[in-house]
Amino acid sequence: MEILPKTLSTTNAIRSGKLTASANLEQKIAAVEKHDSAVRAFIEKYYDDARKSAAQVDAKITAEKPVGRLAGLVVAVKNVIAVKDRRLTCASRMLENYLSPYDAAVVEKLRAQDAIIIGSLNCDEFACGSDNTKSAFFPTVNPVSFFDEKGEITNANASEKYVPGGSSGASAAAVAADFCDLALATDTGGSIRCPAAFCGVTGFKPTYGTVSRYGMADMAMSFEQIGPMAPDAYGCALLLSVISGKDYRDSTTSKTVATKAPDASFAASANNAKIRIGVPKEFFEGADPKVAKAVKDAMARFASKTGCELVPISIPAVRFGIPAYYLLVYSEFASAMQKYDGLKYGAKPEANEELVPTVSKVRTANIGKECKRRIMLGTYITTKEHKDAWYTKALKARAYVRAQFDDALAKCDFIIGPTMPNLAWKIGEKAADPLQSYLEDVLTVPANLCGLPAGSVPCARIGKLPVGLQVIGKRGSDYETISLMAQIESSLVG
Amino acid sequence: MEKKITKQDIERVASIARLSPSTEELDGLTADANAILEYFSLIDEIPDSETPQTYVLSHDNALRPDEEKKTDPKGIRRGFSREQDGYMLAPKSF
Amino acid sequence: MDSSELTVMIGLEIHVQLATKSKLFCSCNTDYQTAAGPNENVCPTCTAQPGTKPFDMNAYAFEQALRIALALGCDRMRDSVTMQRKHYFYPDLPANYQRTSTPIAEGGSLAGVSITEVHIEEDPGRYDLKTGIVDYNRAGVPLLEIVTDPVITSPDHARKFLEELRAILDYLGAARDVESGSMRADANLSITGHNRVEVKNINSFHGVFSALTYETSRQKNMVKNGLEPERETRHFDEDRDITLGLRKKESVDDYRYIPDPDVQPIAITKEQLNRINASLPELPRKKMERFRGQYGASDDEAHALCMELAMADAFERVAKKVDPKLAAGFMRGTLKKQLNFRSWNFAKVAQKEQFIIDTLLLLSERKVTDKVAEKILIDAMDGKAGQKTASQYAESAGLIGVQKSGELAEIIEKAIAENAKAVLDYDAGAAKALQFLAGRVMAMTKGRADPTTVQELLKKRLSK
Repeated sequence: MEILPKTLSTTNAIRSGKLTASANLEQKIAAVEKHDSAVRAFIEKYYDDARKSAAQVDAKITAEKPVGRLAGLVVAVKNVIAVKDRRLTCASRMLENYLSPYDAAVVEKLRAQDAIIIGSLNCDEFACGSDNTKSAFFPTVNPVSFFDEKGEITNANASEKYVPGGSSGASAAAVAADFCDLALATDTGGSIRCPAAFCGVTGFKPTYGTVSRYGMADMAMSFEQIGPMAPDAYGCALLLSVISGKDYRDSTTSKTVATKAPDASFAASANNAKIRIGVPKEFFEGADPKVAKAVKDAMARFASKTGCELVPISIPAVRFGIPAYYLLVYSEFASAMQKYDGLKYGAKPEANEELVPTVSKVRTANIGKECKRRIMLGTYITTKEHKDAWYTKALKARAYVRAQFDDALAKCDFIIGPTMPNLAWKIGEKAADPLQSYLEDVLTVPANLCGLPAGSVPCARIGKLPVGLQVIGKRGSDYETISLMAQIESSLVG
Repeated sequence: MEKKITKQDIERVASIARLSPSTEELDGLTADANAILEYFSLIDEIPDSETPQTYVLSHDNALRPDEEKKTDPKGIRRGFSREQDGYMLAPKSF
Repeated sequence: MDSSELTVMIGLEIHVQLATKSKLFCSCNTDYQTAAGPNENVCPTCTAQPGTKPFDMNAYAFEQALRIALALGCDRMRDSVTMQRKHYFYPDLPANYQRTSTPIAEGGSLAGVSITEVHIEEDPGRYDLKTGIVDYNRAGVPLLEIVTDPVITSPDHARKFLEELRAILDYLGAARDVESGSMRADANLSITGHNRVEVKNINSFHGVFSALTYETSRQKNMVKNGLEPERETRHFDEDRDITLGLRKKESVDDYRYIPDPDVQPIAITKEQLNRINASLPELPRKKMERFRGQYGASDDEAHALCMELAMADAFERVAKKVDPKLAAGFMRGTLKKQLNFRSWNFAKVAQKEQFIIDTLLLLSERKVTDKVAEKILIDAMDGKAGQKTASQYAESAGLIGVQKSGELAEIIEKAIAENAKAVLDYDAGAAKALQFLAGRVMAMTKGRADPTTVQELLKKRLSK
């Protein structure tokens, strides 16, 4: 018997009337109420509005009226994505009580497709982090810390608390803990794929320019995308088909069309014998050997089942990825953060002060340590004296890395490797040294540097801890990339 | 990396960025900046002949027709830290 | 040291608001001067709310920028234009950076002033330093910045340059009504061999002249007294027509420009440039040349007529119906004088074109004198003529020239009868007596009679 992806069975059940939207929502709410005190994924819950939406969807279904593609599916949203009249905190004191005056483009699309928005999710402050410990409010805990063998949360008092990854840690956690069917998160240097890998769920970062960033608080504008997180590749494809497409309010989407919605045969094999999958040695060199082995085993299984060709390749430019990425991210982030002066919105400055100290005080008091560090470095490397040596040089490094990845993807259809070089670490383990955290991003940043579509599927578990397998595709091949992820998923079952 | 970054450098940058770190924070930031940029100076190996790349995609001109759409300003004004007769009130400069 | 030997070098950065309905990167209305109130024409994008992005660029704004660049004679157009972020903290700047483009075009010149480059940028909002109030209605309005080489030699030279610039903008219709404060400028001045000073916050044409006059004088006086003007940025105070030094903290010398990742570069194609060039109207300089040749207008007349397109076009229509030289003289003289007196542009009397033609016809047929023609015009501009034609109005106001020689002959008889002594003086050879009698006749006709005709008829009558 074919095992349907969880998202597909849920949406089938709702559309056929077997499961009402309201019942689905209540299940999720029950899970949140039971376990979120341990997981701590939510910043704000929208139960009242969610219940109203669910009731409306149920009424439409009962009356046999047409409903949207996401009808009745419960979606949670990373709190860097604007939801009208709701707090858009970005997990920062600077915006702790800021109410967004508008909906992000992607939220408009969720609503139009009858999704049920259950609430907003924690993250690293302004998306600056790889483990969700840098939220100004509280850290989110990886639900696997509490899982039993069946993958259900039973031991909420577990003493070993693992990070869920970041910066969209809570988004992955919420999916893993069944607080929602789908989550909308963002990925600037791995912020969807890393938590997907650590929490054992599926996440996807679209080709740059595929999804409108109108309504996504900026971290680094030329790197990031909003993307789906789900229990399965099907869910990612479904959500992506809703949120993607041209939006005149984000001019980087000018050449984009929305991706196809997955049909029932989405995971069926294409002519896999013809697919060439590149396996870069650099992706395995620095990885934890257990992780490397798990990923290699999974790939071997997949290749033998489908007949696709695994091609060993080398991309030496991988070593420049972290410096190129972070230097440019600092620069773009420093620019993006200039707007926070406490005057127009956000944390209130003290009254009756002179202009310059007023602004300095409110910024210093309300922006967190990692964010301030990045602002300082970004400002430093874009000053006249240092721009050539750092900022401009990093732009050259970006071109250099891109050229090598484009070469590799000219010879192969996809590139595969581990999503993260290590397994999830414990909360607090990487607090001291920022550089240590940065280095964890080595496998995920290339896709952002180059604008390539990339996703993570769970491929193994080592003890409690999931291992993620990353698939990178050619620019614009989002549907095909997620499709391959679905096939890998199937190949790992049974 | 050519030159070590000094505390004065960091102080100056902080001022430009409208941040006022404490003395201890300054020490930490200076150490971090040096360690991080020391490691990132790896990019010195990239040939200078490489063309700097800011934009990820090539595009047709993204232009829109000159049309007006009214937005309700209430949601924007409610964020103002101080307000006076519809104006936002910022500190004076004179 | 004689300050008259000191030469000044002035460069201008002029900011012209483009005449668009919506802002450069969002769809808010640009008409901030008639907005319902402060912070009305705003949206999440132009107030830099978290998560917002610039919309696709306003196509009309970009097109108008190209038109102006070509009309200024810029011959080195760039292949593509990139928006940059110019970073500085200031309350009128919603994101604390301004989006400003790389040059669109270089080269070009106007009134003997060479142009360095033109580029497009966003207008900031308005922040009053004294009260602290901020209004974002203006934030995001498209601006074209025109940067001149520092070759302007005096405030008067600057005025001539700006006058011609205003004419070009008027001809293209690409800029907002330039009268209403939609043109601003920054200036840089140096006395040759000395430090350069920037002056900001000049918000009108008149302000440019005042600011430059004050600053030139200030710098010359310093140099004359052996002092070196400080290299700084000064603020022009429009109320007092003086420049003031800014506090050091608030001037920025490093804007940390980076290309704006949210705005893709815009390509300029040859096809687009050719199309725009082909559709440019005849520009002021060429029109002046043509007026001199075709209508025999003097330099002065041609210049005055061509500074405003509506007036130049009206002149050409008028010149089909009346003698062009008469029309040119009248419009450059009488009409322009009345417009200047009221601080009106021609567009305000454009509807009265037929009235002007009629007045000129009356003048050319000697049915009214110059003075009467001026009076008719003034009355019409003051609204006294209603819907009447010039003739109808002149008749009704009793201003029409004394047509029938009979009426005039009667008045001449009356004048002779009442001024017997003058007649005797004239007969005795006093030529001045004729003037006196002519003056009496003119008074009795309330100035309606044609002076030449009066003199002729008097002479004839007195010689009998």
